[in-house]
This record gives sequence, C-alpha cells and structure tokens, in this order.
Amino acid sequence: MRRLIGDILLPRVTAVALWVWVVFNLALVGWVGIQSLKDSGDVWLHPFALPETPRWDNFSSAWQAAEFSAAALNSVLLTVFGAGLIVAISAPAAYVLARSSRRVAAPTISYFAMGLSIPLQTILVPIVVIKLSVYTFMEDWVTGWWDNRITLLIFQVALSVPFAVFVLTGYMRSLPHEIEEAAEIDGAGPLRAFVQVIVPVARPGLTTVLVLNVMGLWNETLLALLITPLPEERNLPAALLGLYSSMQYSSDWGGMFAGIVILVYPMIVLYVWLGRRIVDGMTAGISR
Amino acid sequence: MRKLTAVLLIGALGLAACGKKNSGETAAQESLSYRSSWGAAEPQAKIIKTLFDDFAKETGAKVDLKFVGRTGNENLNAEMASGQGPDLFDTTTGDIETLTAQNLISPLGDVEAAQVPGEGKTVKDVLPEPVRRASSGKNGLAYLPHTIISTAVWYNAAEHPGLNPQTWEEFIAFLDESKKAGRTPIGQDGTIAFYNVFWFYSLLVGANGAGSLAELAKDPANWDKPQVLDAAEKVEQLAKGGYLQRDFMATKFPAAQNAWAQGTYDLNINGTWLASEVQPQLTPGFKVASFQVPAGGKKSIEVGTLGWAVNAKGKNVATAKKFLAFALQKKYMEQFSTVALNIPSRGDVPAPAHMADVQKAVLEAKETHLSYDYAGADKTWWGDMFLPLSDKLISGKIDAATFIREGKKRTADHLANG
Amino acid sequence: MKTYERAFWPFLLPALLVYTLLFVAPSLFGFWVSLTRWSGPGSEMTWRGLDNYVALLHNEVFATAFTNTFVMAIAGGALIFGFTFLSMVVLRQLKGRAFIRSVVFLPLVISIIAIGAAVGFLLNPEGALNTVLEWFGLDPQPWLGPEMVFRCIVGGLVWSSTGFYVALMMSAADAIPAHVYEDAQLIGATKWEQFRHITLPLTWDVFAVSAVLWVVNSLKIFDIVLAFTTAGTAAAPPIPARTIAVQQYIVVKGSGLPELGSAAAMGVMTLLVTAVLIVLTRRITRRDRVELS
Repeated sequence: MRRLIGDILLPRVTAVALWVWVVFNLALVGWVGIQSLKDSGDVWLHPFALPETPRWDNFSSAWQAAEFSAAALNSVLLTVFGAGLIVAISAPAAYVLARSSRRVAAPTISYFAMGLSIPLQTILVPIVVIKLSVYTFMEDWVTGWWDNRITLLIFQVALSVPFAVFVLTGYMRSLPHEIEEAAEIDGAGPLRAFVQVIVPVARPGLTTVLVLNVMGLWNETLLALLITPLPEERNLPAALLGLYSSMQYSSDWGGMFAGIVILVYPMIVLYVWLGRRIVDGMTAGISR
Repeated sequence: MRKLTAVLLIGALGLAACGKKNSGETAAQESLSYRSSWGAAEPQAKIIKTLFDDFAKETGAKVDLKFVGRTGNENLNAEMASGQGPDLFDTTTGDIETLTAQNLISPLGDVEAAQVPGEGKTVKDVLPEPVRRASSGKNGLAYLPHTIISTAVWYNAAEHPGLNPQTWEEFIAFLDESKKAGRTPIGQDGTIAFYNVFWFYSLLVGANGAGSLAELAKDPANWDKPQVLDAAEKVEQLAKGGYLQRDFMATKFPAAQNAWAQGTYDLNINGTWLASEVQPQLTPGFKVASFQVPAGGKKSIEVGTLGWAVNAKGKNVATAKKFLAFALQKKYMEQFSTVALNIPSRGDVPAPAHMADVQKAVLEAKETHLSYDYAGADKTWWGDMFLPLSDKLISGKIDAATFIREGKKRTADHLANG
Repeated sequence: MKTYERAFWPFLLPALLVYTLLFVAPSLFGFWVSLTRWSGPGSEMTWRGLDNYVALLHNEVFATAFTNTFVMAIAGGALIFGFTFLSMVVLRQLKGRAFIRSVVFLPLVISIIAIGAAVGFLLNPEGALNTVLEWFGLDPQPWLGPEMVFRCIVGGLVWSSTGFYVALMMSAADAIPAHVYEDAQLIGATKWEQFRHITLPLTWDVFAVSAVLWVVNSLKIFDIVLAFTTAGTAAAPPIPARTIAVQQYIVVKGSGLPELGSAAAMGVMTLLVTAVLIVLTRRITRRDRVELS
C-alpha cells in the first residue's frame, strides 16, 4: 500500500499533471499566434479554427496603435539601467555588511530587511506625490524640463534595493574569507579589489539578483501606469494594456493578438535561447 | 545613485545659480497640447488628429497630441492640480462637478460668444440648448462638446423592423415572444457594473425625470418613494424572467455586445457609441436601430456629451479656446457622424442614419436628464455601494424589496460615516 | 585594517541613502498622508487623525479587498508550494524533466496582461473551457461571475507563479548528491519517502526564502486582477475580485477627487498584514539547518 501510493500512484499522477500543464502552456502560446493572423470576426466566432488567409496587416496595425517601438525601447532602457543600478548599488553595500565586524553592521542588515516587509502599497501615494512635485520642481526651477521615466527608474531602483541587499548579504557571507587576502597583498584600493576580486567570485549571486530584477522590471505595471502615463513614456506592459483597451473599443481582436505576439514571442525566443542559463542564474545565488 | 547625486547636484546648483523660476520662455510661436482618452486606433483619434493638424496649418501653432486611451489618464486630475498636464483634455458630463470643484477647468463663457470660423455664427448658435446644458456646470459652459451620448435599447431592424415598444407590458411581451421562439432576448456585459445599472436608471429617471436617481444618494428617505420600488420591480422582473443570457454576470467585456452584433441576442442596452464599437463585428445586413426603455411617465431622455475642456492652469489657455471655436466647424463635426458613427454635438449636423431618431429625441425632448442623472458625483456611494447593489438586483441575487431596504440602510450608513 | 572595514561607509552609503531617502522616508510620509484628507499637490491638506482608518474599517468593499489579499497569500501559497513539492517528488528522474521545467516556467516570461486577453476566450460563458465541459456532459460554469472570479484569479496566479518556485526549489534539489538517493533506494524508500526525508529537509532553507518571497509578492498582486476582469475598460474590477492593491489604485486614480489620505491608509494597513504574514512564515519555516556531512 505504502509502495503503491508513494512509488506509483503519486508520482504517476503528478507526472501526468505536469505533462498536461506543459501541453496547456504550449497550446496557449501557439493559439495566440494563430489568433493573431485572423480577422476580428473569426477571432471571436471561430477561436479554434485556422485562419483562412493570414492577415499579416494585423501586425502593422498593432505596432502603430500601441506605439510599440517607443515602448520596447523604454522597457529595454528601464530594465537594463534599473537592474544595473540595483546591482551596482546593492553589491558593495552587501559586501561590507556581510564582512564587517562593526557594531552597526547587524542592525543595518535588519534595517534593510525591514524594507522587504514594506509593500509597494505603503509608498504608492507618496510616489505619486513625489512624481508630481519633482516634475514641477525640475521644470520650474532647474532644468526647464523633466522626464517621468527618470522618476520611474529612480523608484524602481529604490524599491528593489532592500531585497537585493538582503539576498546578496546572505550570499557574500558564504564566500570564503581567503579571497580578500590576495587583494590585500596586492595593495589594491577597495574599489579595485572589489571589482577585480570579489565580483568574479560572487558572480552567481550577482547574476541571480540581476536576473530576478530584470524579470521584475520587465513586467512592471502598476508603477508604470501611475508614473509614466503618456504613450511615448510607456513600457511594454502599459502599452499592451493601452492596446488592449483600444482594441476592445474598436473590436480589433486580430490586432490585439498581434500585439500580444509582438510582446511575448521575443521573450519566448530569448527564453528558449538562454533558457537554462536564466533559470540557473536566477536560482544560483538563492539556493546556496 | 550617481545619476541621483547628479540630479540633486544639478538641483542645488540650479537653485544657487538662478534662484528664480524658469518663466515659460515667452515663445514667439503659439503652442497647444492635448491629452486624449481616445486610443490612437479609434476613429475619433484620427478625426481629432486631422483637426489639430489643420489648426496648426491655419494658425502656425505648434500642436502636441497624446492619444493615451482609457487607461493612462489615471492621475490627470492630480497632474493638472499641481500645475502640469496638457492645455486640452477630454471630459464628459459626469465629471463637470468634480473638475469645477477642483478649479481644474477654465469656464468657456467667452468661447460661447466666439465666431465659428467662416460660418458667421457663434458657438452658442450652433450648439442646441440641451447640449449646452449637458456640458455646463455652475460657472457656465465647462467644456466644448463634440459628441452627444445617450442610452437606448439596440436591436437589428432587419430582423425586427419598427420595433418600438411603448409600454413596459409591450416590452415584456416582445421578450416573451423572443424567448418562446428559442432566442435569447437580451445580451448584457454583466462585468461592467455601469452597463448593468442602465436598466434601473433608465426606468427610474425616464419615468420620473432629472434628479430622481441622484436624490437616492442624498437622503435615505428617498428610497421609500413608490417610484423607486416600481423601477426595481421591473428590473427584478427582467432578472427573474430569464430574459438575459445565461451567466451574463460572467462575461468578459465586450463578449456580449460582440455576440449581439453577430445576431446571438435580440437586444442590448448601451450608449450611442455601441454601433461604432462593434462595427467590425456586425453580421452582413445588420441594421442597427434603437428604442428608449419604455419607462412611461415623463419620458425623460438622457443627454450627455463628450468634449474638450481647457485646463485652467494650462500654459496656453487663449490658444486652447481659439482651437475650440475652430474645431466646431461643420466639416469636422460631420466626421464625428460619418467616420466615428456617433451623434455630433451640433444640431445642424445629422447623426448617422441609425441614430437619427435618437438625435431627434434628444433635440426635441421636453424632459431631459444628464448621464446617470449625475448620481455618480458621490464616488464612494456610487462605486462602493450603489453599483454593487444594482448588480445584485439584476443578477437576481436579491429582490426589489431587499434592494430598497439595503439601499436605504447603506445610504444612511454612508451618510453617517461621511 | 581590512579593505572592507576601510571601505565600509563609502560602499554602504549609496544603498543606505537611496533606501532611506526614497523608500523609508516616503513610507513615513505615506503614514503622515494617511492621517489627512488630501487630493495631492496643489490642493489643501486637512488633518483627519485616524478617521481614514475608521472609515476603512466600516467600508465593506475594503474589507473584501483586505480578505481577498489575505486569502490569496495563504491559499495561493499553499497551492503553489503543494504543486511545487509534488513536482519535486517526480522531477528528479522523469523523462524530459529539463523540458518540463522550462515550459512550466514559461508563464513567468509572459506579461500577465497578455495572459488576461486569452482569459476572456477561455473562461467566458461561451468560452473554450465551457465548451470542453459540455463535450463531457458537464454543466458550464460562470467562471468570471461574482462567485467564482476570485477563485479563477487565484488559479491563474498559481498557474503563472508555480514555475518560478519549481525552478528555485529544483535547483536546490539538484545540488543533492545522487548517492544519497541510491542509498535510500537500497533500504526501500518510496519516491515520496525520498522526497519527505531527503529532498525536503535538504532544501528547507531555500523553501524558507521562497515562502517569504511569495508572501511579499502576493501582497502586490494587481495586474492579474485587471487581466481577468475589466482590463482596458473604464470600469473598475468587480468587488469580489479586488485586492488591496487594486482597491488602492481605484481610489488613487479616481474619476473624481483622488482621496490620497484614504489610499495611504490602505497602504499602512497592508504593511500590517505583510508584517504579520512574514513573521508567521518565518515561524513556520524556522528549524535547524540540515547539512550533509
């Protein structure tokens, strides 16, 4: 009986469930692709039929309607700069916090950990207020212009720092102490020692934080909606939401699915290409 | 971080160096910015774009258009209050009061008196009185309307020529007949609460005139009026009679209105924008037509408008106002009818054929009321209490008596908790 | 003096400043706003004391959003980790396991808004799921109706998030040397027992981190609710489907006067829930580290 359940029934059922799940995911992705080539009536009337004649123009109409080119650029820039800044700010801090024997180190680590439990909601209202004030302030007094994308970037970074510091501190602690000694003998300055000695050794942990943040930033929706509402400032999720809205009101379902394909397929290709490396990188630092 | 330090540093330097406000450099060129609630793919956006382009050509002004769509204007009000935001923005009848209360809109008394270019008439001349009323607040004309909106029950005149029930009994008789013939009489996108409430609202305010819905938010005692129970009982009859499609509360908008356009359902209650939205989905030969919910009584007609408001704190108020008179020209307003398939605001521009009767009804009505009878002004009452209750009534979860009892009790609670 | 002691402040300060000025200080400001009635810069701020909180406690809609958020964190978490554990029982040996792990992770790389668009076609009353049910002679269900929509959202959430935790936990499990399992097989342990007595204890630390990660993420849930309900329309998502984040968004954006005080109060209340849940999670997952020697 024990063997029946533990060795046969449970594993078999789970295996079947996993395969069903896999088939569903793949079918969904394929189905979106098929839908994107139909005209609007067919999308609705015959959701599971193949398109009679492929409607490639859905893609051009979606691309234009959603201003995807600007959105794609914004998403890439926000993600790259954001994730880069997060790691650049958090890694040195995590390193000294993990290593130092100063009395302030431990409470500071807890202070950063506290940030983990502050949900986005708590600072949503202040962010909206600061966004407006910063814009007015910069425009009136300083540069004469301002771009809300910078505000979005700054807050995305600030909000991600606690988690990055928290994970990296734990990771840096696990690194052997001997590694700095080489650098000490070398007589290198702290920054050079950090970049040349610590960073290479800590790469798995840094990659994890980087990948996790890239995924988070790439899918950022709520902050983007509130801070950067204009079409040319939008990131991809906000642009897709805009397209979704616009296509609903004009019943252009083919165009909507084309928009989804434009957004999703490149990510899938990237994922298939980098696949294991993304997942490994994402988890390497946490699972130590 | 370095970026931030730089920003702060520039900030400090900027303050120290100039110590005075950047006065919006008095540019020789006029400029005008507009933030739209239309998405770039919608016909209205295309019309508005031509309009601005022509205006730019005519006056040499530099125009800056942003078609943001329904999602994305979330904190426009807050932006404008803090002195940012565009010169022109989209608004509608229901928002006049809050915008006026926040002093966000520049009153348009002077625009009313302005000439529409090349027509020898003033703005006031070409806008019918009910249209101006639906676009005005306590400071006079609040925004310049381009489209009239109203609510009606829509059907396919090719299937049911001349359908126009005059009494509730006739209406129910049609529903029964349709059901008996094996059809689904009404398609409803039940996820959208403010579409569900169309039934109750049209019945109550249609029969009893302006203010009869809005007063429910102001005093719990108003719930005891027999007219409220009467309207609620009729909605209950719709719910209990099984006239709406199965599981209509579970549709993903716009599933029901699309299916209606495909001929799956006979009727759909909706705004005058319906035909424009479902255009690509209409089955061949579909003739869109409408009738008013047979509420009886005063036969009050809903008149609401969509239009452009001027941001009171905007940088180019004068240019914005000049644009408004320019935009009202017949050749542009005609496109709101022919291209966008909506009822244009000017009385002398005909609506699309399928809405000629709605336009006539609006312009000739003795009794009119504003969109949702302005009951949405108290946002918490409307969104958190009334709409959910109305959803329960139309989905048959509660009967009319419970609806009244709950509505009265919750209104009292709401007023007490402020 | 060690390098890291010399570099202590220069290395720490950027992170400390960014975090303090742009995260902690705004939080405190948010707490301040929650005690007022305010519509944002340019409008007058009036003191309300705890009135915003009192009003929220009386507000049934907020109560629903609050409960939903809580339920989502706990029920969603139980389902996600339940599935994750089950997968871990078999994924170590199953044929095609690398492929499965990749595909299960797929929803993570897809924007949730995009998923929402497919939802209408799948879960609509006349949608694909009901069609399939009818083939089997089962009754169609109002998936997106007021009674079921929240459960469907939790389902969608479990579907889209589980892959992430599977990836996390499996990469920890991969590090367990194969000979441990071989020994276990020799003494006749079933697959379940191997998981229960080897895999789980040895990956428990990762589970503890994952659980906290889930709690933090679950409280931010926002876009999936929009995706399953009224995304793209001007309508607010139906009340039974709302989370605190959604409710707050509705209040902040407001078609009328934005009530920032009330929205900020919601934020502070979320903070309380988060704190409680994190403490609970830590307590549940606390145990001595197990190591292979």
